[in-house]
Amino acid sequence: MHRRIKGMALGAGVAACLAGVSGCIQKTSGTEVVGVMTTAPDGTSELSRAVIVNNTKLARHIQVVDVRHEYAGDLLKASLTLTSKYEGTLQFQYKFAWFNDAGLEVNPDTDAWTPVVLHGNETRTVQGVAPGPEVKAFKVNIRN
Amino acid sequence: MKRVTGIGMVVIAGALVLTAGCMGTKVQYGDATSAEPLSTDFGSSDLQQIAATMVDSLLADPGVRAASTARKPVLLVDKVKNKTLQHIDTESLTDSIRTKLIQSGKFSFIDRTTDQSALDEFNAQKESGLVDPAKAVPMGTQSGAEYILTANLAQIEQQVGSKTDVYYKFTMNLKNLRTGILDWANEKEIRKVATRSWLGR
Repeated sequence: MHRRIKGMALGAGVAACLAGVSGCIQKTSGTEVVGVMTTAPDGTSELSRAVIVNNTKLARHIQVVDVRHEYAGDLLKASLTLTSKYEGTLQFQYKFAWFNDAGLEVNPDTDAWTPVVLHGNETRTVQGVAPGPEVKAFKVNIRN
Repeated sequence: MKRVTGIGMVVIAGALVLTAGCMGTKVQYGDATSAEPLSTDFGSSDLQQIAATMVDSLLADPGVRAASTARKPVLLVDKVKNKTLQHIDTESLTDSIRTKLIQSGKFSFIDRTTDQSALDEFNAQKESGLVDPAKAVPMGTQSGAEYILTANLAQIEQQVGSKTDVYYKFTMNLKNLRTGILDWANEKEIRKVATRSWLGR
């Protein structure tokens, strides 16, 4: 009886602690996709890409399967193909950031987070167009 | 028994302290580009999404690109026809679109909303006697718009039981004033769904 009361009191306290803390903490890290335009010795430009995972739970659900680019006139256009590895509906958001040759962000903080709803195992493409011709690199943040 | 109750009380007190840290009114700066909907009403994220989609589409359009390669076409943004049931500052929406397009360096814009102020200044320069006539800005030299950007914002709302479904559709057209033809058009659709929980939140 003695132990049972002690266990119940501790259990209730720990549960309340967890409920209190978890109600306030929300993981906002995600996946970063970086694309940099590089010029080959023969003069042709190519895109070098990297995917950085900062949130393994999100990365288990959303996979970046392709990163492509093209030029719309002199403006860089980036395209990401995302696939859901989850059977249910996923809600996440993404945001583009654009950088010039010196690595400085072009028009910082002007692109907004765009919400996306991805149904079970759906594949979808998200695209962005650079704000100016000076853009040589981009970064796409994906998060819940 | 007393010790057990004491331990339990301490743990519960700790939990209350932790929970209390999350309660009450807290004011802090938020992310201006955040996409966290608070209601089905037209919000800042909706405005930003629309502006970004329209600007990206306009900049990437082959026909528009061809017209803006050699020189900057002069555009005028018309007022957005607000066909929703809400009071929305549509000028703020067109301001965002115009700012992004100006920053791209591909277009020039005229602004008819400031014409009266400009006229007042022209008259002051001409008639007040304060301005050197050689340095006064001559009248009749301004550029006219070659294109007009027109837009509609529509809303369809459905409510069934505790579920509210609001669909927004923003349509934008680029009208060539020389030919009268719509050279470009695009739409952005946004759907927001709110479900009221049985707890009343």
